[in-house]
Parts: sequence; C-alpha cells; structure tokens
Amino acid sequence: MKISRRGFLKISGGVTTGAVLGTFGVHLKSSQAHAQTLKTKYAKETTTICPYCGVGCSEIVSVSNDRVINIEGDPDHPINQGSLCSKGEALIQVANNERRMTKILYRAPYSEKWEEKSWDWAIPEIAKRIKKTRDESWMAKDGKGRVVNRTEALAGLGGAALDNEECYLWSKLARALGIVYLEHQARI
Amino acid sequence: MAEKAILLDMEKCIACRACQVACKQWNELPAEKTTFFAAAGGYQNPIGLSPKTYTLVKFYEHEEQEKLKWLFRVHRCMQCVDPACVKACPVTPVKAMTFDKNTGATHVNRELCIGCGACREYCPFTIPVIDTEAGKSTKCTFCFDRLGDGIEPACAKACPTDCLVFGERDQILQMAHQAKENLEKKGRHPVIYGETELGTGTKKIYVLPEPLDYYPDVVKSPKVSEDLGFFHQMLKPFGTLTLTASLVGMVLAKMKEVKEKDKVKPS
Amino acid sequence: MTNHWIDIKNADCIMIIGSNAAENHPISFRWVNKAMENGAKLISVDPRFTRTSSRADIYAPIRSGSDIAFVDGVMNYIVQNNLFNQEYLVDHTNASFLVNTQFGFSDGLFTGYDGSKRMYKKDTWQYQLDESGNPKKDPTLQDPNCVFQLLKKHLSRYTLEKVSSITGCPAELIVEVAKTYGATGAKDKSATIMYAMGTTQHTVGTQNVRTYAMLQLLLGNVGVAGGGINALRGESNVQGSTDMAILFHILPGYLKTPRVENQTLAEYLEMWTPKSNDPKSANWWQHTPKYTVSLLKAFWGDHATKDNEFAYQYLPKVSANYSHISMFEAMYDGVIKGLICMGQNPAVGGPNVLKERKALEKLDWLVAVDLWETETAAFWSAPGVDPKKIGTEVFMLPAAASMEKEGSITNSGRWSQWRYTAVHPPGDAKSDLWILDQIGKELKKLYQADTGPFPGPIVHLNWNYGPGREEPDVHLVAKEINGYDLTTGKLMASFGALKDDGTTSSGNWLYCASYTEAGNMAARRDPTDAPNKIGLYPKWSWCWPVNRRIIYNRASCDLQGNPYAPHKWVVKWTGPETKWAGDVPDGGWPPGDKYSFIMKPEGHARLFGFGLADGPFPEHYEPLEAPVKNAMSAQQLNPVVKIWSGEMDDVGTVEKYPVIATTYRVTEHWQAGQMTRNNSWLVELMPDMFVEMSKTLAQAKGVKNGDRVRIKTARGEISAYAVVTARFKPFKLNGKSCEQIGLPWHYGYKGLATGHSANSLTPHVGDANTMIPEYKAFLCNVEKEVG
Repeated sequence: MKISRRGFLKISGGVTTGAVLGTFGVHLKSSQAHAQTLKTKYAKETTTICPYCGVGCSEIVSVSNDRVINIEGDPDHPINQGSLCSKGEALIQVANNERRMTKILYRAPYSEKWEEKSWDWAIPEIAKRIKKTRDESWMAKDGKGRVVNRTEALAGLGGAALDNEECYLWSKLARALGIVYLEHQARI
Repeated sequence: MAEKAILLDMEKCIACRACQVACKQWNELPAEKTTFFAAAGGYQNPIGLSPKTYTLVKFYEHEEQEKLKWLFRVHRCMQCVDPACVKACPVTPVKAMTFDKNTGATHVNRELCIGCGACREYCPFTIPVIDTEAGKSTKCTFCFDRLGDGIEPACAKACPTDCLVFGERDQILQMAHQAKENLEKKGRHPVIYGETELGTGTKKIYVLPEPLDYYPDVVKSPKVSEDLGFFHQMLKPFGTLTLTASLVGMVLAKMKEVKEKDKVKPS
Repeated sequence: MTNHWIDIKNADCIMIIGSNAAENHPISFRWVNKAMENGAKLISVDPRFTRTSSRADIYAPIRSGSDIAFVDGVMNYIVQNNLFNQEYLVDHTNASFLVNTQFGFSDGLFTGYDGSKRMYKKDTWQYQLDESGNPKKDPTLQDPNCVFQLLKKHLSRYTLEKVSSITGCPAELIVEVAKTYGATGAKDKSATIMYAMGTTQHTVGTQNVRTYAMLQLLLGNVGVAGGGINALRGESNVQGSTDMAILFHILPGYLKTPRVENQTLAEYLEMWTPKSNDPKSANWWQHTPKYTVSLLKAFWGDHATKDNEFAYQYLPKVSANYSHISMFEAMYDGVIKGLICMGQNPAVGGPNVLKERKALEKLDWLVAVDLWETETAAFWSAPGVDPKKIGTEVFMLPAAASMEKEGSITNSGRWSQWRYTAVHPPGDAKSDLWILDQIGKELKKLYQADTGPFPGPIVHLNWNYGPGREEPDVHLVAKEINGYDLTTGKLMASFGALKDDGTTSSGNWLYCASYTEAGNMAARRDPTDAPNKIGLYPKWSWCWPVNRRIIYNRASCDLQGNPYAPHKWVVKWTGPETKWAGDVPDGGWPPGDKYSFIMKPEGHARLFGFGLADGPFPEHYEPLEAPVKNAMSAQQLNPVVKIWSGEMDDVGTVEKYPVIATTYRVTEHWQAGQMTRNNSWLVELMPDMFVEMSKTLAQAKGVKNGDRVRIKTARGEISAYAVVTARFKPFKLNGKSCEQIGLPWHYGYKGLATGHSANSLTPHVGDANTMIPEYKAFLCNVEKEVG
C-alpha cells in the first residue's frame, strides 16, 4: 500500500545540499468554508539530526521569521523514515523555550546570585583563569625526572552533546593545555 | 477522495507516546500540569482527554498465572464514519462540528462552535471535551489541515513502529485482519474494534491484541442515543440566532429530567 | 555498534539485554518490529519488565549484576549441545589457538594474580608460539590447551542450577533462551545483541560486554547482516565525542594517550604499534605511526617536524587513571582547581552525586556551558547549601542548540551526519565551536604576550578557523579532521594514504575519507541501497571506517569469499577482476589471503581475551554491594577493581540494606534531565521522581501505589513516589527471596520538573577495565514516608 508520509518538500540527493531547502511547494486544497493555511506552507526548511539518543533520526525544521514553527520527522531518512519518539517530537520546545540561557552569567565567590555579563568580559576572564591555574600547577617532570608536560589542576568534562567539530577542537585545545583530567559522558 | 482511516495495531505499540506529543506539537496544545501518574498500571498522563490533550496513551497491567501482560492503547476520537456529534451539533445553518467531505475528517470549527456540549452528550464514546474558558468543543481533528494537503496526520507519521498507519480505510481494514490473523496464529485472542461498531464503523481501526475485558475503559457496545431526533425537535422553536450553550444545556437537562420522570420514549 | 540501526531488521533473533531499547531508543523498534514481522524472535533480559519486555517473545528476568552468570550459562548450554558454529570458530576466532600450559584458573582467580596490587601479571595468559613466532593452533579444537577446550571447561561450572540460583531466572527460561538464541548458530541464520548501560555500568561491565561478544562468536554472528554486538548509545554524539577522544586514555581515532614511560615518540610507537609475523595477518594497528604523526601535524602544523619528534613532547603524558570517578575524587581532595564543563551535568548524572556536588564546592572556578541553568552550574544554590560558604567562581555560558548551528554528529551505527543552522541562537547564546574558538584565540594571545611555563603547545597550536569574533568556519574544522596531503594541499581521500613522514595530516584517521575533494560525505542524502539490498544505504551520510557499514564483514564469508547467508549477504568475492561486491570490505585482499579480524595482530576474534585486566574469560563476581555471597568462588568482588575509601565513599551491607537497587532512564526524559525537564510536554508525561517496586515489597512496607517512600543507601537518602507494579518481582537467589527496586536517574533541583537525584544513592566504584561507575547494582532500604 502506498501511503505517503511526506508532505514536506523533496530534498534532493547528491553529495551536497544547501542549508536552506526552499519553500513548501504543495498546493493547499480548500477543505471547507474556513479553510486554514497549513502553517508550514511558507516556512524555510532545513534538516537536522535529533539531539537526544544515539539513533540519529533526521528531522525537518520549519522556520518563519527566524523562529521555529514546526519540527517533525524527515520522511526521506532511511533510519527513522519520518517517525520520531516523544522526545524527538518535542524538540521544538528546545528551540522555543523561555527557560533557555540567553545571557552570560557570573557568580562571584560567596555570592548568592548571578550577575549578567558580556562575552567581551567573559572570554578574557576565563582565559586568564585557565592560564593562571595551568601555570601554577604546571608539571614539566614527575618525581623520577621524567617529562610529563601536564597539569592536574585543570579538568574538562562533557562533549556527548557537542558536534564532532566541537569535540575535536576541545580535544585538541585540552591537549595543548596539558589537561589530563579530560572526560565526558562516555565514561559514565 | 477514498475514505481514509488510521490503523492502531496496538500489539506493535511501545508506548513511546510520540503520537501524544506529535498531536500537541502540530496542534500547538499546551502542556497540562500533572503530578505522579494519573492511573495505575503504568505511566499514563494526563488523566484524560481535555482541551489541551487530544491524544492519550493508556497503560494496562494484567497478570494471569504468573504471565504478565503490559498493554497500551492510544485513546482519542474514533472519527466515526457516520458521526453522531455532527448530527447532534445544533448550530445552523453550517454545523460547528464539521464533517469535511474532502478529507473525511470530523473536526470542530472553532469560529462557529458555541460550546454547548451536545456533541459530547451524543458521542457514543464520550470523547469531545468542552473548553469552558473558550466556550468551544475540542477533540482530535484528524489533522484535516494536513489531510487537505495530502499529508498524513501527525500521530501516524510520528509512530516509530507503524502501530499507527494512515491510509485508505478498506486497505487499513485488510491490514487489521492480517494483523489479527497473525496474532491468532500465535494463540492470542485479538479484537478488531472500529470496523463494524455503530453499524457503519469508525475511521480509527484498532487491533487490540487481547479481548475487550483487558481494556476496561473501552466502550463495549457503543450506541448512539436514540433521542437525537427529539433533541433537535426540542431546539427547533428557538431558531438559530438565539442558540447559546446555556440554552442547549437547559434543553439537554430538561430531556434528562423528562426521561427520568415519565420514562417517555422519545419519538 | 558493529552493525547499524537498519540492520536490526535482518536478524532472525534479537536479544535485548542490559538495554531497554523500546524506551531509550524507540526508533530502534521500527527495525526490531520489521525483523519480527519476518519471523524473528525477541528476547528481553532485564530485572524489570519494561516496555521492551512487553513486546518480547521471551522475557527472562535476572537480578542486576548477574549478566555474566546468565550468558555463561547460555553459552554453556550452547557448547554442551553443539549449537555453536564450528567452521566460524576455526576460521574467524582464536578458538583453535593453543594457550600457555601454565595458564589456569582456581576459585575465582586466574593465574598471575597479585593481591597486594589487585592486578594480574599476564605472562601465562599467552598463546603458545611456533618457530616463526606465530600462535600454534589445533583446528580440530581437541587439544586440552586450545582456547575452545579451556572455554568449555570454564563454562562447564555454569550449570543451569547454579546460574538459576545466582540470577534468579528460572532454569527452564534459561534453556528457552539458549535454544532460541542458539538456533542462530546455523550458518545462514543470524542474531543480534542490543545492549546499553545496563551492561556496562557494573564492576564487571567490560566482561559483561565480552560475554555477549563471545556468545556471538560461538554462533558465528559477528560480521554478518542481522548480527553483531550493538551498543545502543544514549547521547546523539557520544560516539563522535568518543571518537574525538574527550577521554583521558585515548587520542582521536583511539590512539593511545602517551604514558610517562613513552618519553620519546619512538618509545611511544614501539609500545603501541602491535606486531605480527604472520603474513596473513593484516594487523591494521601496524599503521599507528602514520596516524600518530598525521595527528601531530594536524595539531601543530609546521611546528611539528621530524627534528622535534613532530612535536610529540607537546602532548601531556599520563601516569595514572584520570577517569570520571578519579576526577571527582581529586576534585574533592582539592587537586583540581578549575573545571570546564560543556553540556554535561555531573551534579545529577555523576555517581555518588552528593560527593560530586561537594567536590564542585572545592573548585576555584567553574565554567559551565549549556542551554539551561543546570544543577551543576547552580550547585552553589542547591537545596541545603549555603552559598555564602562557597568560594567557587562560576561562569555560565549560554550555548546554541542543535538546530542553531552547523556540524556533524555520529550516531551509534557510526554514521556521521551533517546538520544545518535553522535559526539563530537566542540572545547571547553561541555555538560551542565559537566559544572554544574564542577561548583558544585568547589563550594564544595570553601566552604570546607572557610566556609562562611551556607555552609552545599553545602558541604553536594550529588554530585558524576564522577571524575575530566571527563564527568559525566549521567546514575548515571538518576538513582538518579528515586531513590533507601537505605536499599538494588537497584533502586526503582515505587513511590508506596517510604517512608517518610528516607529509600528511589528519586530526582523526578514522574520519579520513569523511570530507574529501569530492565533498562533505556526511551531508550526502542519496537514498539508493547497495546491490545486496540489506539496508546499508552507502550513499546516505558517511560512516567510519571508510564508509564500511558492517564491520568485520569478511567474517560473513567462508575462506573462498562465499557468503554464509546468501539471502542477506554483506560482501562476496566476485573474482580477481571484479573483487568484492556489497559493503566496503574489511580490506580488499582476496578471501583467504588475510584473516578477517584485521584489528587484532593475530587476525582472529578473541574468545580468549588476554587484553583485559580481570581475566581472559568472563567470570561472575558480585557487585560492590550484593545481597548474597558469590556462589561461584571465594572472590566476592571483581579482584582487580579499585576500591575507593575516602570520605563519603561508604559501602553498605545486606544486613542494613537488604534490597537491590538499580537506576535507569525513561523514554520521556534524557540523561541528567536538562534537555527534557525544561520541556513542558515531556514534563507533563513524567512530572516526578518515582521508584518502581514489586507488590510483595510494597505490601511488606505498607506502601500503596502513589505513596511517598524514602530510599536509603550508605551514601544518601532520597524521597520518591512509589509505583507498585507486577513488573518487578522478587528474585529467588539460592532459595532466598530478594527484592529489587528501580529508580529513574533524570531528576534534580533545577528545571520545570524537579525531584531527588537517584545518584545520591550510587557508589563511587568502577569497572575493572574502564572505571565506568556501578550505577546498576547497589543495596538500599525502602520505607514508607511518614507525615
């Protein structure tokens, strides 16, 4: 039986696809007197991979005026074929959520509250802390005089929610800093 | 357009509740405030259908001679082939409870609905819920807006296991019978629900892997109340413009009262 | 996964053990269902009857911490009843290899145990070698020192009665599982194992996985369609983050982290490059020098030269275990001063979380990058904590969500998939890539200005992904990971051409071929299947290594290259001209020219696994906290497990804590909860922390469904709603009834839905090989909450 789960536009095959996949191209049939326009009709669509478990389902994100208006399964994807679980179906609430962090927050020692900060302030401050901790704890050699070139006072945690490119940069930067306490979700 | 239906082959359900969330996502329904779980036997939430919840997964835990069965069922509007809610809807000349000939979907036209509750009163499954704040009836729309564009309903598309399948009703029925046969070969006692119920059947076709007794909330022999004609007769004198929810409510209450007192059989 | 998600449909039998796939990987059931529609049997092995079990043909309950006994029992039945695949064993595994005659096993200990160090000397765990230095073999599998006979002897102790009394699983169910699963020992049948954290989060976690792998090898189920050993990974990119080595013990591409013994590059390569004298062994890791030098070139570019050992000294060298538990013990002890936490929430997800939260208080500073205000970022304002006493500075940086940035992630099936920016992140939120790039640039600036100790690795770090405050070019990073031919400046086509002379670079050799001159392979969307029509979809995205969708696939064929299962062949030899067809083969050599398990120097899969810390064969030991004495030997606990005995590391006894507890996840929440407990639709479905318990335990404690109960262990105490269910049953262990409860571990004190964290109860103890915490089996007591 041939039942389409499509309805979303055909995304062409081939090695590369652009980020923006065009507008919704299906004619809306007037279903009745108060026919309503399909909400995704004029949306910009991109594909994404679900950020939850490790199955790697593809989803189609519909965006209107830089706001996500709909996310549902990508029917062309060979693994999920348009389907999703409850978490995947709820992904739009990650995109549009007033609980999201939108500001850089800083908590001073012994303080009871967050303070809002800017990137221009935070990046140099963080880099200074990293350098200070690294420099103060630097171990060029161990007790037996063997070269170790490491710090045991800096630690890094996390990465399973990052993209590969982000993981790689973090892995590389951490090694350059001499970090050995480098771990993430795969261990636990 | 050939008549459409959704298969609900509950043997395949893993109660992931993608359908329940997909329904909220597409229809932009808010979450309900819940505490713990709404019913024993599993993880059901919220407690029932509501103006915020058109699709609800129910859980049933059964134990017989040490053999445990954990059953699931997707609960919502059955989308009757001959919908009593549409007949009951007193709004005229255009019904608020709409049967859309193009897609076969029965859904509420919120612009016309007066929230009188006649649809719920006459629904053989007591499905529509009145949003008292908005004064509107609410229920599964069969995703008529998607169907109008040749897109399957959000729940059926979301379903990972093809427990929910959208298609032409006669083919869905074939699939249902095939699924039933397969279960019978394994010594199970499945039931098809929705094929012949109410005489003309529904567009939600269930394959329940166990007999109906295992699903105590499923209406065993659904019937449309026989006083539907009488109800409309009672409303006639009021005309169309003055029709309000409270008026219809009064009529419904009056009918109940009369039935109680005189045990009069409506014509 | 050796195989991949779609391939599950090709299985004749599926065993889900240590996993609750229906709940935690729901889309896997799309493919489990397809297999079942084709007649496959589904077996669910779990202490608790789950949504997975509800679909199973056979549900076998075993108490937490008894997997080895269970699978050893199943394997024993398979060996005793000749259900194994002998041809496969001889051709593809080390079953026929002869082992040192001094090797032995007695009362829970293998030969070579040193109790004072809690470790093994492995000199007897070795093959017997012939004159050319290659392992001796007995293809008849009869020699009493061959692996097969040693295994048979080891397994023979796992009788049905014994296994039943250890696991609590009725003997007839063990037989039913063994027969059903064992039927796939037939050449053209296959079965798959789906496992997850229920397997690994034990003090015997690695050996748990090994028992599954061995079962698969006995039946010839590795390398074939519908087979393999499939770890269902819980985060969308935990495969990729592992591949990229955000772990102390490896570098990208599973190269080893230099140890202090490896003082020079030459010493490093000498120790970590395996050797084989057997011309039929591909011994793939012999290429370690090429991958290592190419990595160093990617990291330090022109500053990595032949004269400076390709900047090898820029890499830190380790001399201890720096894994998660060790990290938090060191933090608690004040060794660690600064922590950078990216999208992880250890204040909920870590083991013994009360200790780990306390450890955070001892930091000088914490940088937390996340989409949400997590329990970790806000640890200083946790209930019962006085912020005025905590001196830690905290920087909470807002991160972009998955659809607000561009890049690739790698799923469980090793598919690297590209995703796109759909919208801008809200407010000041930025991608992690941008944050890392900015910090990297700033550090370079600082070290250029003021040298500090050993500035070279930072100042010379290859770090050019875009100017100023702009979003870095993610494609440049992806290309660097793939690698370049430095003589031509062209992208490498595959790792086969990487060199150890500094003329090639590759940030991760396993991803070499992912982004080539032909384009970004991870972005491919061609839905055409391969000619064998088994659902490989070779042109959809890209998978490592070299787009091979089923690894060890040479083992799907006999030594002439004919598939064991012609109706679902993976690869096949089509002749010297046309070579292999189907999937990308595990090396293109003709069949029979090379052994099939190319990553092992002996070319054969190991039934005898001498690489492990705790023994070449899997032996049952009890969890750190167990309700019973070990019925197999006098060794109660895995004898090489590290025992932590600092503050807040208390261990409970069965007298005080008689109930087994385990933790798990649910469909509706994800990991430490930050991505779902802020999501109102998911919170609606699962609003509160709960504990699942049997009707008998509930009755004994006077608890009804929905009551509040307290659960207590030696580490902590929590409160939760009781779900009283027939899905938990007491286990009969050696004649004694023992209850088990289950706790979801998603909850914490931040977010829309809050609740007590199950990890307040779990211990700081880890697997002997990996130090993965033992979240899955510990002891507790349960009481109804009063008032």
